[in-house]
Amino acid sequence: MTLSKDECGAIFNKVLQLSQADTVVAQLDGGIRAGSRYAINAMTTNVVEENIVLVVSCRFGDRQGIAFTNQFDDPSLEQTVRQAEKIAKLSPPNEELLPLVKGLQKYMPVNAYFEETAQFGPQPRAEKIRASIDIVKKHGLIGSGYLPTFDWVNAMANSEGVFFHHRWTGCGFLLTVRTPDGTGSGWARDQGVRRAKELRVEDKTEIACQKCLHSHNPQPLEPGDYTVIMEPEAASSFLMLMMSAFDGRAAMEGRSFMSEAKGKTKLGKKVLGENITIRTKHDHPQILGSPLGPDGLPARNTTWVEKGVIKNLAFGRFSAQKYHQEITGRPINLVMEGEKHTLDDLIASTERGILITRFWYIRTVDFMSILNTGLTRDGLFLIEKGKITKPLVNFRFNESPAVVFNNITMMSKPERAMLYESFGDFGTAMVPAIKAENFTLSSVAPAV
Amino acid sequence: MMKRELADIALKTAKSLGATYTDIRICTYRQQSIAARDLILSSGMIGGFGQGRNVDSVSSGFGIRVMVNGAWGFASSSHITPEEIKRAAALAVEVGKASALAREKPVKLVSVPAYQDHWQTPIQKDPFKIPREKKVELLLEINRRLLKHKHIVRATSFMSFAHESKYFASSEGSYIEQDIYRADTDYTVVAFRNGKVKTRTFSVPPLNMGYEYIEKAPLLENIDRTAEEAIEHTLASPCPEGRKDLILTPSHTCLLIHESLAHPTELDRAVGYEANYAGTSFVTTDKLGKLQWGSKLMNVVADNTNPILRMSSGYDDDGTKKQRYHLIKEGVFVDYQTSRETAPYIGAKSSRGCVYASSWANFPILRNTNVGIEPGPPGDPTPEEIIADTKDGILIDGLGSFSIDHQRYNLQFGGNAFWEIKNGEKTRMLSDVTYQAINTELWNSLDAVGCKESWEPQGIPACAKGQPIVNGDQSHPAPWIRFHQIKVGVAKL
Repeated sequence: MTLSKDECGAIFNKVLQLSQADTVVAQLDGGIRAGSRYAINAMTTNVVEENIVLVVSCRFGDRQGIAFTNQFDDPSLEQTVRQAEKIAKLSPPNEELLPLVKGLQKYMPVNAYFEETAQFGPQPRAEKIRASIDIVKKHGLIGSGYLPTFDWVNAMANSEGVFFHHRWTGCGFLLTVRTPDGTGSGWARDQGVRRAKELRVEDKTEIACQKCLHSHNPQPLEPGDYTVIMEPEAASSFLMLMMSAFDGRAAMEGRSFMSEAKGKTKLGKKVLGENITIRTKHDHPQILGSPLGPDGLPARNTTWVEKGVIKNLAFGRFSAQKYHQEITGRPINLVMEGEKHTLDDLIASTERGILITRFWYIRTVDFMSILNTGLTRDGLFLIEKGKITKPLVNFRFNESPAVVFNNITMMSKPERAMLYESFGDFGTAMVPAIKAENFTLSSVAPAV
Repeated sequence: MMKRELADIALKTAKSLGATYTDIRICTYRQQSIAARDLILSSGMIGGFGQGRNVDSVSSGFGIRVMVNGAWGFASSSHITPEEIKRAAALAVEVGKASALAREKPVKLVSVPAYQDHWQTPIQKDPFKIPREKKVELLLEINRRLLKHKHIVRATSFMSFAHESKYFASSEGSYIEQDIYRADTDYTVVAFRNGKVKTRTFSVPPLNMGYEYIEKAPLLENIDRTAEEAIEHTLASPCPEGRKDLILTPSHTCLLIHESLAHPTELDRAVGYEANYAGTSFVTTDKLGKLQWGSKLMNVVADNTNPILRMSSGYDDDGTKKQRYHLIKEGVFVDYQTSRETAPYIGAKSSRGCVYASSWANFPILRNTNVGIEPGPPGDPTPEEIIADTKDGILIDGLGSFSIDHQRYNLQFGGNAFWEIKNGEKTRMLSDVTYQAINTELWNSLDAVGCKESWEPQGIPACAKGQPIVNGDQSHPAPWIRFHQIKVGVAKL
């Protein structure tokens, strides 16, 4: 089940008419999520999930109440509106509530809906999974993979005339391939894909198989500080960590890496390497993100870092007003500038270093320095004199992205990657492979 | 139409289209969460399938799981009508037939008796009948008192309640109705002093109880201590690098259990089902009954029968009765957490009942359950005696940074508050403590297990597994425990 613009409008109209609150905001979020998953070379899970959630937010003055439902019949809508109103009347005043955004807004055009993806049903998904399994088995390996698809709607309206409707599709494929003796593992991912026909299931399966075959029987290396080359999917983890420090309010309140003494921040200062430029570009053709910004405002493209200088921190409506800053929205739909090199160029230029396929289980150790820990996984290789020479046993790292983004000496062209361990459709970014010096690998992790 | 009649439509439709097994869960989830930041209620948030803070939410729907040609199919929908159930059952069969294209050996399920039963969490006060304003006022009062302390710059408090109403019917004759209630509350302060920022959290164990649990929780009694410890933490010296004895309180150990014991003993992980996301397990099936995984003091039990624990109910989402059993006995690994589908991998004739779906919309999978450490027998040490018996150690309380590899060998944990222990006494707070270890080496160094009085049914708020994700909400009870000479202080800039 998905909802058209008219269907969303009809639900919103009922909600707005039902409410006796001073102001009302209604949002719809959901649709069809399907996913085919295999493990040990056989399909294990195959689902079609249909759900849309309505969020109703009512206000009386500066008191707000919110209620959710997924039932859109008249009695359920009325019950949800009344519940939101009841909560609002019982809530304490919230001085951070700003007047609702008024009138129809002009959103940047982003066409992220493709019928072919919406129609990519159980049969073609199963055929793609079968093709992946066949490739894995041809190599004598054991594969596990997942192919999700989305046909989704985000919509909102408020009692001051805002109306927004955005239907989008997405799909992806990611897999892990292991040797039967458990001493080798490879991985590849193709996510944030809008058009099903562009999904590279077979190519990614072959890449994961080759990684797995080359990672067989890894050798240990002493922990220490190393030159590392992060493939785009690994570099994206550090981009995500870096952007976690861009909360403008936390910076203003002294609670962040971006804070400085006496209520000042690093805004406008050169904090990262000269070669670091990071932007939000919602309408990038490889991303096609949502054009909705905070509270119904149009999303806007923002430069966060330019040549190492912090150009913007992230402010919502309230924090922007409080701290006299521009509303930027969150740092999502990111594009990190790269260079003209290829991943092979980065490897060839390295006298001794380590190639990292991806990271796993990253958690913050210290917010103020953005010190994080995590592990390498599914393909770690030693580089000697410009060539990959042997697979390595995995490592745990303890490192800050602020250090990494000052130590990058070479980058590839950016590619589409995901910022999170997620396998949904959220967190697509354009990220280059990066070569960074003095990366702290603090202990050996024998997991394969 | 009654739920049984609706369920029968799904069972009959799927069978007529070729399904050899079918189950349906018809569910309504009611949730209430209230979050206060300083003296206001935080704004609500919207997530993919309707997670939120400071909201009341109701989510209803059904999920139909079928086996066709030896492969699983699944479809779910939020419209609980006879026509929609027929449509979804047919779609589930279509999905199952497609699955069979990518499956050579059929899925085999161990048998399960047919049950017709109703089970409910025993509660005294339905949390949804308690006025919301009473809950809001308690949270605001907590924050008000926390903010009175100098150097406290932020106070957040939280309360949540859930009622999971679930009707399960299967083609094997089960019709099971369950009503599960959950309650949770905690608060956190942020202290800012001399350019240092530290947080401190007070939490009671999240449990399956009614509002009576909140009324009895010592929330106001712990406000001053929590704020003072946060402030003291900003002045604490960093942890030195080296090896120390570690004393862990249950509010810290719950997460260590979750990551290093509960996840690796999921049989689906051990045989490879989760290789593409959560990972596999170093506890492969050849280690069953052989692996020395802890000192003789260590007894680890999965208890899904104690009704106050988070994953407890009468039956799992395979229709298997919940159980209590040892996973590790006197340091030896003796059993896995299993499902009807995975039990055959270890030759088991029945499932341990560990299948769960956090939403009607999700395909149920094997989720880890209430895995906990048993307290020692009478005469085993009290917390005070453990501290008094420690020459050079660190006491760790609460949750902090945590990370473990995808086979659960290499772990690095922080905490929420730390104290140096010297010659049997708490001397001062420390900051920035992390410890790093290999799983079996850590548990084999367990040299003290506290008495029953030190046992607490702590738990973790949420755990993600599966593709698509199925969340879990587990209790991991433990007494106070101590490890001998663990590496600390490795993580530093």
